[in-house]
Amino acid sequence: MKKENLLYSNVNLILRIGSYSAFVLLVLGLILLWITSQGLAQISGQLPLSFRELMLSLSRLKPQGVINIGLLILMFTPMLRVLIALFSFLRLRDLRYALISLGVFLILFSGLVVAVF
Amino acid sequence: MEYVFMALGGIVVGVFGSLLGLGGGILIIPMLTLIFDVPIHTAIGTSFLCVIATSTGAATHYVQQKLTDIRLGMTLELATTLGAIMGGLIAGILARDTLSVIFSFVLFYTAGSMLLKRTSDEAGWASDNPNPSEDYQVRRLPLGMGASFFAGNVSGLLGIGGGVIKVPAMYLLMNVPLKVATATSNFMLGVTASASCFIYYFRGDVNLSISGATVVGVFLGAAFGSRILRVVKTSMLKKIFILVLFYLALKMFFKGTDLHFLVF
Repeated sequence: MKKENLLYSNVNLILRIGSYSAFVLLVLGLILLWITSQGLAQISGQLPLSFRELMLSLSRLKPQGVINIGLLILMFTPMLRVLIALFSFLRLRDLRYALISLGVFLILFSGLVVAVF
Repeated sequence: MEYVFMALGGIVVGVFGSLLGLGGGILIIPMLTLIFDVPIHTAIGTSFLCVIATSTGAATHYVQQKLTDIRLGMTLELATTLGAIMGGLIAGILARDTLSVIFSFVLFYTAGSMLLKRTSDEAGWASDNPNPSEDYQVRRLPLGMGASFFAGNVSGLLGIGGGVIKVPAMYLLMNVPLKVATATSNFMLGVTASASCFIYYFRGDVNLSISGATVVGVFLGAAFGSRILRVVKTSMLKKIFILVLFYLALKMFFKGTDLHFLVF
């Protein structure tokens, strides 16, 4: 039962970290917009940003980059949750559900590959 | 200023969503397309992010209470994610009017199923297992997988979570207690939505300004809604909500068929 708790607490932890950090970054991005007196309409609205643009705007604490990272964290949290479940099932030696989690992860990953290319 | 109203709209959707147990997509898309005139593909992209936000928030609560059947959720996710990716790809080739009309049918279905659920609740037919953590035997898994694939497909196509299909499928077909079905469906929403969200994001159908403002609003609204859940009577809210859904369904249908002048 203790080991089973591990699965629930690990999944819960990753969901909390993902949602809280995404929310903090999104709010920070919106505050930065307000401080820099930049209207939301004035920042480039369309995504995705290129990796270079993203890193550059983040290093300069530009609202565009901060909001974008917040959205990306939100998007990747469920995928990370599947990965955490996979490792938790492996620790529980529950091979069947570890394989099922791996299957879900691979489907998500192939979806990501299809989306990028 | 428009974005402040979008954030406020997000708060309203978040509050309604958490009070009525909805992901929010069913309201976000009509709000963005009908009020703010956002193209439906962009509205769907934003909706996915809102669905991930609300489901992630609610899932932490359900997982903590161990109402979620993680193993069942993981198994059904094999089907929902496949369906969601397919739906997301199909949506890219459909015209916005077609999507509006399909969306209106889902709104009609949701309103109808809420109405039926209300009636059955009042008649006392929906007596659920009082102890949802009690053991139960999952039945008809292949049928459940089929329903999950369909739910994922609709979700990927229209930007909704698909709980309106998954919860009845688990409860009625698979012998899963209602509370567990609701918690497990919520747990699956995030993964299903993220599978399609990647496609919308990299296709350029996610708008930074619209998504940023709306998602923060939904986060705040959902947090507030879960706090007032115990003190608010949801029966009247449900009646109003069913009427709103029927109205939105008509609006979306006539918008898609170019007859929008018929509904104010």
